[in-house]
Amino acid sequence: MIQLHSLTKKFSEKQGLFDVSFTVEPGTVFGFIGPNGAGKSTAIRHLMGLLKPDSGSATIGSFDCWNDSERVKALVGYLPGEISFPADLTGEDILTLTRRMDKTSPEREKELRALFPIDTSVKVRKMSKGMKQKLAIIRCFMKDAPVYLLDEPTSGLDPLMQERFLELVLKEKDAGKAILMSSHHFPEMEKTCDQAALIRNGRIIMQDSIEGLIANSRKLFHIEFASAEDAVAFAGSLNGHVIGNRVDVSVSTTDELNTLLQKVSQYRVSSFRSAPADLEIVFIHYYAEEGSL
Amino acid sequence: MIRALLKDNLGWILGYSIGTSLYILMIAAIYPSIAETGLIDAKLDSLPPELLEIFQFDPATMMDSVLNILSGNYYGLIFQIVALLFALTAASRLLARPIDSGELMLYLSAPISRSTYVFSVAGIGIAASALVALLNALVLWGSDMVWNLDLNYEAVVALCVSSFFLLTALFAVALFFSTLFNESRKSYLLGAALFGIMVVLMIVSGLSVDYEWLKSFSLFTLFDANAIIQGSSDWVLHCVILALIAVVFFILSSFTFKRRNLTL
Repeated sequence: MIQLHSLTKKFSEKQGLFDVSFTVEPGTVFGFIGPNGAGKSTAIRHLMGLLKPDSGSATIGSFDCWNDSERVKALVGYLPGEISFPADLTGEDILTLTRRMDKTSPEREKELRALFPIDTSVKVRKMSKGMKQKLAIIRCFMKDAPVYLLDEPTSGLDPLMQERFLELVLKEKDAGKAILMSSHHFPEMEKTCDQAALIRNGRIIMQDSIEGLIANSRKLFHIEFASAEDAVAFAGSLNGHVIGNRVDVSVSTTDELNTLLQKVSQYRVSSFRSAPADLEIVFIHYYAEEGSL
Repeated sequence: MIRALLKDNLGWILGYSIGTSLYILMIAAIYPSIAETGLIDAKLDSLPPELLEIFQFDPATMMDSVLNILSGNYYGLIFQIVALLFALTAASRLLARPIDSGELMLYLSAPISRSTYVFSVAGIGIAASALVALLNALVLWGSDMVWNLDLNYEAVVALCVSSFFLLTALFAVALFFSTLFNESRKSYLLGAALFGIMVVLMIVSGLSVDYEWLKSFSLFTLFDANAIIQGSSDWVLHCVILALIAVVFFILSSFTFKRRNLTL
């Protein structure tokens, strides 16, 4: 349903998208993960027909997102990463506009308003970030579209609204919608996504099912030593992170795991446990590497 | 979409329409006392003829009627500045700023083409130009009813129709600049520089006959209020040329905007 095929858009040597490909099928949620400026929003902008690829293609349905953007937009509900509505319009003005332009159903709107309550008589300039985000969510899902593009959808929402939003996404997924969702919030990605990809410097560096990603991910171990000296000595040999007598160390290959076991056998150990595998552990070190660049 | 755009832009549209109309109302209200005292006649006579030439004031006829005062004072000078500010504001509020701030996505996420958006905002700009010209004309007509100004309505119609086409053409040019950049500051500066040059060319062309040819590079040449009032202007032809310029720039705006990469 949603497809990026070898898409390249070069802004500079490191900025843009480089040979990016992925597919999102109906009834699935695809998670798009990556540090700020990695290219997530650029990919979504291609799908919304805002950017023209240098090479490759972005399609939704069977329509090219650049050449057939009107048809594509008829199929898409879009939630932008930065919510920017005209300051002098009220929430009601914005929903009325959406009702007319996207020909939405009143029942669906009513349900969404109940789910994300908001005072629509307030002008946008007086709204908090959370209010604007709720308004944008109602606006996006008012349209009963077969495709949703969600850029950082829970940003600014309180935990209750985040939970309701995730339930909504799962409901839409069950209804057969194809959903592309970019986020930094790993637990929500884990709850909703079937597939995920990590993008960095405009390139997809990892793509798999959520289960596959977690199964093949780096494993984190917490090892408690008898003394702080032992902890420091051990950490130095394996690039671990020392916290008092404890060392946190991660491994990704069998060789690394065997080296770890060999080294740890040379010390007196109080406890040895593995951290629960989750998406955050899969991806967080990529963020860290980005930060150190 | 047009309803939402109108609501969001009503403030500045009414500002220009009512502001210019109040100025006309003020001139019309004080005209009878000015005409009686003859103070401004005396002031004009004391000014150097070169200065009068630059601003296209004719002291012999300037005080004959309220239209003559308006042609020299308002339509000859103030309106040109107002017109360029109007065009820059309209283009900035309707296109450049929504691109810059990302507000445009509210409209472009719906299944409409970018050309549809450009022609919709063009329609709003045209309606705003018409409102300015119409309200100015209505105020003149109302003033005539109240103060019996003995207006030449043929000239009033010609002035208002010409001012409408000048506003529309300037707006079309400014709108085209707005389609060229993602930052509203850049398009505003480029438009302001071009319009500023046009005004300067008009002033310089009045300094000497040697520089008169410079006029032809300014859109303001196509709006000669003095000649319209004296009946010596081919204002209909000028309006047709201004309309053609507007159409060309609206089409160019649609063409460039359709092909632009937008980082909304």
